[in-house]
Amino acid sequence: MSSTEKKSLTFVGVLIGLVLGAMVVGTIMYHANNTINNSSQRAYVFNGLSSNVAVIDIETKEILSKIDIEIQSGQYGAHISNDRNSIYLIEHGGNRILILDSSSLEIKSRIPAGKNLQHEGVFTKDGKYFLAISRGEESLVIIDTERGIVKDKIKVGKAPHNVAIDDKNKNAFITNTESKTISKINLESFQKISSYELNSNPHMIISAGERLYIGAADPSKIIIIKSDNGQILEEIELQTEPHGIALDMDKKILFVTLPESNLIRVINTDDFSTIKEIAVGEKPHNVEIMNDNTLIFVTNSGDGTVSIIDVGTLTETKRITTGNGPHNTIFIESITNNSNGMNNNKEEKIISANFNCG
Amino acid sequence: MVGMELSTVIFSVIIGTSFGILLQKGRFCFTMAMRDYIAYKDTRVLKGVIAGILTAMIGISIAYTLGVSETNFWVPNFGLSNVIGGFIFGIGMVYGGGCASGTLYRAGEGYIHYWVVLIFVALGYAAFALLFPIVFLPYYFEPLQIFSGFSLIKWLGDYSVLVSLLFIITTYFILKNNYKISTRKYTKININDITIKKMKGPWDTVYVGIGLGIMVTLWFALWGSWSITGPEIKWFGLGYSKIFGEQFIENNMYWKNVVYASGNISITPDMVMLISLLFGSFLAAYLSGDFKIRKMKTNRIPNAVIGGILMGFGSRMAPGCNISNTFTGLAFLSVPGFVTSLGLLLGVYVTTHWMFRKVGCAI
Repeated sequence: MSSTEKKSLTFVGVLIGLVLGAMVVGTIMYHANNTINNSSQRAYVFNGLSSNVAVIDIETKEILSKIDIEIQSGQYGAHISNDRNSIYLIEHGGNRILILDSSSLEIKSRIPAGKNLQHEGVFTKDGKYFLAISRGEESLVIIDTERGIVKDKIKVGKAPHNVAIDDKNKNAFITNTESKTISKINLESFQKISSYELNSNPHMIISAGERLYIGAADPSKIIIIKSDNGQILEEIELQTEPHGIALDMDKKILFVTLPESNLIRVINTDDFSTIKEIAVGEKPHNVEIMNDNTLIFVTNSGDGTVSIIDVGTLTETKRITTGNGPHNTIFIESITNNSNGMNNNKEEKIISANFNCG
Repeated sequence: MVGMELSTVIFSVIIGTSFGILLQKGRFCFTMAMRDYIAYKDTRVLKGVIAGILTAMIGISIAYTLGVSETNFWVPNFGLSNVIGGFIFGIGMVYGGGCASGTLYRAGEGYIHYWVVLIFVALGYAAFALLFPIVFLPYYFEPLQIFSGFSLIKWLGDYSVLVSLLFIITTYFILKNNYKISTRKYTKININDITIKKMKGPWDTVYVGIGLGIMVTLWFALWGSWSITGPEIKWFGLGYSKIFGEQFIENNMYWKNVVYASGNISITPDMVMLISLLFGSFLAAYLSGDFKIRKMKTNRIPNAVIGGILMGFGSRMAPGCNISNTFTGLAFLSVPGFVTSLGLLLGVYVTTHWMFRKVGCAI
């Protein structure tokens, strides 16, 4: 081997060594950096009328960005899948469910689900199904999440609006506004098994343990019933119609939005007494609580803001202008974190790993 | 050909057939190029590869400057995953006896061995797809594929032509001064000298490389990065969907969200190009009298099986093969292409030394 060839080989060897070394060091640095930052969460507020999403950093309570989504202006309910990879977006009154990629917020697919869909819906605890409401067809629509198709439609009462699932993932409960009933659907047989009658028009519903909490109108009240037989445990009279309802993680405190009063009613679930009323923005619509039980987010559809309320002190800590027609908030664990030029967006990685497949 | 215009099909067929003819007439195989240099210091094919990459580099930079969309670049994210994937692919192609393009043109020449390699490449793809959501995505791509892809040509924009020229001149002088390529006697192309007899014989790899570089530029201007394993896996996926039903594809994250992420399972221009490439190599071999059904030697079965599976896995793990990473990737001056090519070179080097361990290698 000549000296020139030896020099060339040495050069190539050193080059390969340097590149490999840089890659190994870069990978270690990346993961060290990622470990520090990857616990941050972000709140995504869907502004249906602005056709965008405001991304809020939970820690700083500042808007990080607004991301346009390819939807027509309207009132949309957003529901995050159990694996946090997909967002099911339902336009109120529409007939299709849009499935968005939770990383890119791009529409992955559209599922024709039924007439006059309500923007409410829920994933089953095992993530196999998404339950939506078709008011036009007076049905509960069962979406197979893996296959992205409608598995079944089950007839319920008149003017259905919202759905909740019990903790055991055994039954679904649907509010039928005009029938003044709650339909109980068995999630194993997908059969309607009973119907609970109420004395006012139920809208929103949540399930907790053996109880169902129902927001109802005409007359305005919160109704608490037993989920197994529909027995009314308590009725809390309200001056104005309730809309969004949520429980804290300990199921000790109930939060109810009162759109006409611009208030959040805070109720003790042990004795059903009112703990406090918190002033928020105009026409508070939905209320969501973070998994760590620290903050609740109230979307104020009247003035396009979100009120962030500290669960510990029950005070509004910040009100942020997000955009027109905010409907609800979802929380997503932050995946991208740093500004060092390294790309750690999960979905981009999936795509780039295979785009054009090389 | 649902969703494809006739002009798209025609251009895909023309370019694909040209690829096939050029590969076959130049015996243009990356495995041969690298292996022969390492084992014997034979640079016949390597020079053609270098000429092809440099031609494509200047062609692509001109096309980009003239307005070809930047979306035509394939510059994936990268990391140690590229080194590992390239390394495995490098081992597979030396052990199997041919790179992604070399396997195809030899299959067109009638080698049963390379059809068996292709079958096991397909099995490698299927096995990788099964393991993708549970192994490769969480434990391989997520921790290792972490850097954003970068292409110097794409980044430079209007200055890319100048840089490509500088790159070509520098490469020429380095090779000229160190490897005496100037002493090589090039055959002057005279139209009167081109006879059917000469055309039937092997073509100079440098001219073949230049021809491939021009075709790669055309392909880039029309559709994007030239790739072999990309359309290959789409064809195999289509085959699987016919055998096992479309649900087989729909139920798997890799097939559904990656291979067919851009739409339904249908035939695309690159898939037409691939079939045309096979046809082109068959046509060239047939007209030259090189086509013959060649039986497979039984002692070469392990090479076809293991080599094919390693190529299938390696091209998914990198991602990409020698064509998308080394030929087009280096022509893009792309960092992912460069990193994957390093891994591939290491794989070729190690495997060549192992396979030639009894006689030794020149380098």
